[in-house]
Amino acid sequence: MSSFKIKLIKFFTFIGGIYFFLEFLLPVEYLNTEFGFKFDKYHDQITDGIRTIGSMACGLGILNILFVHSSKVIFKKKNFIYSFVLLVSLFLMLTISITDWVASERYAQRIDKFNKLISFSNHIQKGEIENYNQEQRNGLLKAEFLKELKENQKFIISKGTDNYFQDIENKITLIAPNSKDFHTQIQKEITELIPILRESYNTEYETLTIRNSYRFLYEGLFIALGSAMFSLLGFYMAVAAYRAFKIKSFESALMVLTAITVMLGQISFGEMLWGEFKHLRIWILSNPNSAAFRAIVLGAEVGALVMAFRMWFSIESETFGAKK
Amino acid sequence: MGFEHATFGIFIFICFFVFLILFYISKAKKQTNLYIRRIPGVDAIDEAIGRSVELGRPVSFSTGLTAISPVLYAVLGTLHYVAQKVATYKNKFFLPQNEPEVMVIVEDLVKDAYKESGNLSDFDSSNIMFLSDEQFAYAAGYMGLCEREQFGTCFLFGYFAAESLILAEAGQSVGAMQIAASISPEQVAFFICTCDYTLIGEELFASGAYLSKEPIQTGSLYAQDRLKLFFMLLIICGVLISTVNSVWDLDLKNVENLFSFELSSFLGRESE
Repeated sequence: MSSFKIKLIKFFTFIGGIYFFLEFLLPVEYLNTEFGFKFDKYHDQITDGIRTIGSMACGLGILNILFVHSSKVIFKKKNFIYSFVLLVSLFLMLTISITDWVASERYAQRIDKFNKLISFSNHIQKGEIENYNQEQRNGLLKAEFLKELKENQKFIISKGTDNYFQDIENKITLIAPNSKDFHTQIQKEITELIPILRESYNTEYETLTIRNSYRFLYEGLFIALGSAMFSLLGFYMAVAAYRAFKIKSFESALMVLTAITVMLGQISFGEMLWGEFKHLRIWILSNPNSAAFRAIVLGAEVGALVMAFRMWFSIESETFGAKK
Repeated sequence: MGFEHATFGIFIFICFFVFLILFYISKAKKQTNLYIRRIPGVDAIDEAIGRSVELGRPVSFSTGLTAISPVLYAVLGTLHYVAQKVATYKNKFFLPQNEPEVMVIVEDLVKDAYKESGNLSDFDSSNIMFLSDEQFAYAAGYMGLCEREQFGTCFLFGYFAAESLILAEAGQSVGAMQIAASISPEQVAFFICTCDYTLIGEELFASGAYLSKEPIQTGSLYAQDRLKLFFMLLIICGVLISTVNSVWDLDLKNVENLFSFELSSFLGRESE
């Protein structure tokens, strides 16, 4: 890498580091009043930036999967069938997820059209629409609303009745564009209509084949398989405990004794044997165990802190390229 | 935001902390034979790789769920050493990945290690594979890989969560020699049960310095140890103050509050 690029990376690393350092250390009040620098505002933007980079990196992961597994399938390498299943699963999940998202967006856009009508009405009231007189503007809004109403007729009928749709249509038709409370009435009707439509869209969306396919793949397979993997832990814990509970020395004997005490303190059988097991368990967990935990965490955090400072000041070790 | 970290004590601590790091790095640069205590798990790395070579079975190195963080940078030191050794012995090296960003860094580092050992032609980027960013999907992928490739040695270095036992048991089931290092105390217990060697907590940060003996890494390790000593003294002081307060019923709260003096008042501002 050229020296200029390295300097640039070091510069941005330092700037990023100093931002988070100041955000952590300096009083927010002081920065806002003294320099007029609103950390909250920039914090969101920076977090968004980090997220964007993260999502770009996701593409790298997909590319790697395609590269590794497609070459296995093309050249029919050993165990290529697993790679084939993985690629098919990847494309299937990707296609169904995208189609499902498109379908949900379509319904969201329909709702959005009604929200825009409310906003259009507000603009008219504020006199922000030029070229037309008040009556013409109101007429336009009314026509647009009636058009949207017709387009969504089947959703309104599916939720209410034929009469319900007719009632709304009649009400809107009867509102005179030159009446004083034209906008109040129109906005009231739209506001009442939106939850009805949202419920209706939701019902239809949930019955779509694509939605059901997505649910089958995500909730039926992905989550179930994840739970199955997690449940393996129970079995592995028993195996690991069996391996660990072998008395070979004084220390291991002490550990087995402690483990048995904690286990007996956890279950009602232990309490039946001796009432103090419960208190002994609490004492072991909150005293010696916590002390050891804290010692490990403290040591690790101090190490992480030193490493973080080295990263901030770009004090690179030779392993990571200081000499290169 | 909202919580006030700006205490005068923190400010002094950070200045002291930065000074310590810079001081010990410069000291390590001048004095190259700084002592680092032996860590059995790190000593066993060579043995583990050698065993794998003798058995003709591949080596695997998993960074678990580690994202780009100080932990990853600590792991990279060990990874570089392992990759160099594996490249020298021309063994197969697998690096199952969980984070795409980490994968890129790891790939670059391993490639460098192969280049330094003079065996760049043996480097196979398809062995650095992205499995999944989902915890249990990654564990399932790792288990499958372990069974298919019959790993001879497994290194589990970095941040691990509930999947740690699944990964370690997968290696155990194929008879691999396993060396693990985690900063999470909950997972350390699992690793101790299933792995041949386990590096606990800050030993993970020490392993890179121990293997490379580089001044920057060694100096950082020295600073880290001195800082830990400083914290131990603070804890002892805190315990003494609390004990004196409770036993003799004295009011030493002012001493306790010494380091909670807020920086905003130092700057002449009222903080919320």
